[in-house]
Amino acid sequence: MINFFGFENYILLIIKIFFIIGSVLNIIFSFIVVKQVTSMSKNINDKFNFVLIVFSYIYLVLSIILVLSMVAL
Amino acid sequence: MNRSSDLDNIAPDDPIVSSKKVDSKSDFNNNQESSNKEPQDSDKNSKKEDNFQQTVYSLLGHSKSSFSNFLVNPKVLTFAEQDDDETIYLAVRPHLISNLSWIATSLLMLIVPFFFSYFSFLDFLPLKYRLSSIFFWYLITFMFSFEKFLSWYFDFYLITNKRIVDISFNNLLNKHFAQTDISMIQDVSSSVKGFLGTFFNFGDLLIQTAAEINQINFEKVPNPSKIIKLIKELQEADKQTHQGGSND
Repeated sequence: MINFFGFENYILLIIKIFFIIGSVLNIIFSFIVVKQVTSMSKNINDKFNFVLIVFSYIYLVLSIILVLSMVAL
Repeated sequence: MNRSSDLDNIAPDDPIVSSKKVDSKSDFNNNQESSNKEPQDSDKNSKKEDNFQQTVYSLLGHSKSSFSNFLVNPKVLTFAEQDDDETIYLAVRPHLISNLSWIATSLLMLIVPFFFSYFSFLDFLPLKYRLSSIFFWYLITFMFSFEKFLSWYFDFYLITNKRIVDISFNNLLNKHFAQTDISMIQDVSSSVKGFLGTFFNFGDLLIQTAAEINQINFEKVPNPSKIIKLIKELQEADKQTHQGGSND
């Protein structure tokens, strides 16, 4: 169980920091994905591009949820 | 008047209309001629274009969906560098089988959390940490698969009435664009390698040119022999256009 002055607490803190760093990197990448999918769609127009743009935005929203959930841990 | 030409005037989105303008080379040759000849010339060119599209269909068959890796005369596909009077005859992506490695990796990544929970590797963590780590893992898996899919989906080799184009996006960050005119093509060679290549009929196509970019490589494309036939047909048509232009 979590003990505020115990060893386990430090491990959890380190894990939490790693999770936050990872999720922040993930959100940066998701922004790049949105930007690139939009730019690729401008380069090659196809009827399926809209679906890809929607997917990239879903990924961005999920990444934001992930950051919030990591901070809330 | 020919019925198809009649319909072109009514339906401007008809593919024949897009090719109604005179080809740039023939346009260059003909721009000295009187303006009353132009409608006849454009009609002739649109007919020629229409005939060539039919030739392409007879050579390559029809494609069924935009997910196909072999899109014949694609009506909905355009690219940023496309000219107004440019018609895409064939758009090719690497064969679907070339995605096998990343699909397998993604499937393995999907089962990793089950593996961890089965062997109780994460049991030392509180429940909310475990759930967050699983959520994080699946997001990474999605990111990996999505990036690979996009790299495949936007990797296009295009054959148009004017040129051969290679457009690819590497790792979402780098765009590669290479093109060569049909008249610049010197040599085309193909190689089908390995069990999968032979079984599913895909391989590499090397197009050597007289241009500054001296070769364009189509990697893992389906039906390389059919693509070679199309390029040959285009070269013939290009030669005829040039000869016709010089005779005029």
